[in-house]
Amino acid sequence: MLWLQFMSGLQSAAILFLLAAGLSIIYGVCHLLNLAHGSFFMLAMFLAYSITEKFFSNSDTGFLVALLVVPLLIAMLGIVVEVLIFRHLYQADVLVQILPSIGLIFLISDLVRGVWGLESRSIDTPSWFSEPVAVLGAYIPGYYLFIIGTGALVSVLVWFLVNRTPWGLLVRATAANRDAALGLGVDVRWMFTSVFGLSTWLVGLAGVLILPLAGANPGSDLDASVDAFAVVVIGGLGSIWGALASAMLIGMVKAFGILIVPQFTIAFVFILMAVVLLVRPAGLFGKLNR
Amino acid sequence: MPEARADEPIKIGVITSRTGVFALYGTAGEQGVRLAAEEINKSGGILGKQIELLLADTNSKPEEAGRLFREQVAQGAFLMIGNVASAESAAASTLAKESRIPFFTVGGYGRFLTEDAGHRYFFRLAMNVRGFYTPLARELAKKPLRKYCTINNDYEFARDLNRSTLAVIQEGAPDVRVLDGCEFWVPLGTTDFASYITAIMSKGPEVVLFSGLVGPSARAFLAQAKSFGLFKTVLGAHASMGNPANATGVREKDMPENIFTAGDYPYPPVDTPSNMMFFKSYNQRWNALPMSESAAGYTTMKFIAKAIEKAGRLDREAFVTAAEGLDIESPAAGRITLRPFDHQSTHGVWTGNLAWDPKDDRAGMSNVAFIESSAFLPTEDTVGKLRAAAASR
Repeated sequence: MLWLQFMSGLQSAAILFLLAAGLSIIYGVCHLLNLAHGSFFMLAMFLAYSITEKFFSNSDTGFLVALLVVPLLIAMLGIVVEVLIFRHLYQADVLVQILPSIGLIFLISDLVRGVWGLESRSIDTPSWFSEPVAVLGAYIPGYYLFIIGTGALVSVLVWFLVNRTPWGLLVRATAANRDAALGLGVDVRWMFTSVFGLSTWLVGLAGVLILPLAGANPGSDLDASVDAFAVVVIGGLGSIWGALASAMLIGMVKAFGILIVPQFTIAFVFILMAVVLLVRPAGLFGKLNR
Repeated sequence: MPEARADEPIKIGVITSRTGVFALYGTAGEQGVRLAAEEINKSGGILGKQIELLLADTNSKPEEAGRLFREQVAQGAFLMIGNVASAESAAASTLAKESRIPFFTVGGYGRFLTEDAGHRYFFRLAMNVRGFYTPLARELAKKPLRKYCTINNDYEFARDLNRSTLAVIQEGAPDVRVLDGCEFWVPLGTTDFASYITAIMSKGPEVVLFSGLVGPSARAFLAQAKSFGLFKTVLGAHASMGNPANATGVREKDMPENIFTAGDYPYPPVDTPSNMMFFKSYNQRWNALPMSESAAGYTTMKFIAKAIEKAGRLDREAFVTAAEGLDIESPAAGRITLRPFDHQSTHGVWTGNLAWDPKDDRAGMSNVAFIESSAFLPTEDTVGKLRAAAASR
């Protein structure tokens, strides 16, 4: 039973990582806190619902199309937002940066209300994953394994992108010292735009993946943002690997906390945050005075 | 209070959780109120005057409900309607009592509203929450199942609901117990239940009571419980999945077979002429299916019109006196009466199993049984005792 608890924690961790990784990358490279991160997540869920339900009458094909198309749509939206709004604010004061992202929260929230209304929307779990799979003696729903697998695959992909490609080299250089990178001729503008695209692609993927289980709800934008910020604060602002470690930590603490001390469920994440910040004020992988 | 002139409309304050966690419930209630007001205005208004609704959004926050209550009364509202949940209704109730302005809750099911904290200026045409849990709990007590787990959203209404349900079950079956470490409280809006479900499975209960999971949480819990097969061997009990808003977004494939529930506006819709008429006009007006709160809002507005007509003038004291004991046709629940001693209507309840309603393409109930309010509402004597006890605290 501990094993089953571990796997359910791993599933939560996979979603948390995909949800928060983008937020962390944007901060790490662009030094921008995108408060509207959860809004992209919510929008992805509603778009995936419409594509699957309306265009593919809720078939497995519909889910597959949504899984491929929606993160790209969200990434395109992210790029548009970066070019139109955030690009002009990198040099600005933090407060000035935050205001437009708050505006974006209201905009997307009203858009979702206007188009999809107030009711929860959801899609069926694809039939490929309808049977539980026996893993080391515990029956785990196939779809949870799919989420865990996708989370792992994407982590590897992101690692490869950042550590093994020329683009990644530039990203790391820019994150380490923006002025030096600029001086050495890195096209910082394009760099920031592509980082925004990747980040919103990740959060879009998280939205589609969790849709059959969690459902799309107006209001899930703020919940998602709070979760993402918790992951990023514990992991260290700007560190992808911090986000991964922190998502794993939160997933496991919650899963086993629920089993052992259920009366403190609501406080788990905050206790964890307090402990980590006391020991390492910059978060697990964060650096102070950057 | 100055008498309104003949050409002046009757202003009625309407505060609604149009946004925030209770948006779905509040909006349904407001749409019911507005539909009824439009129908009344079309057929000549009340006492020859048109109704003017003052509409405002509480954002599901009690302090906002209080502020808007004062604001709308200052704008000349004759009385107030709240398409709001119990906590907001409680805030409005306090103000209603102080300022002697009648307040009708549409979405507040809380027991205490008409019982411990009830007063001359508080009214409820909607059902008392006892309707949800009392018949359900009595049925559960009859089953040979003793080991329970509970999982609920963490807010006052759900805590009271859970406590009260268990109390009624234990009246009938004193040896029923909640397993150690199997009482879960999750924040409103939670949609990740995997770890809760695996924890519940490892404790091995016979019944999972999840009445206090509402909206997105209820839907997500059902879908994830289904994927783990939790309800293949365990009975689920939710006191109000038959409140349609609680079951929105539940999909046919996610429906566990084994869920016992109750509701105050069941689907498929109750097949009576008055409900069919309401269902059709609501659907045409709002392009949406009516919910419990829609019916309650509609009934409340119609009841208010009838009571003002009976009082014959715009006087709040005369209104309260006219309203006591007055009856009204509720869309689904038949003729209901406002009990004079606690201002709670005699709205009954349906119990049954959670089931798919293919015609309306949404979650509904099967094996439905209607239970009259006399089976669950407290007697005049009990209400008196509860109020006396509350007053001495």
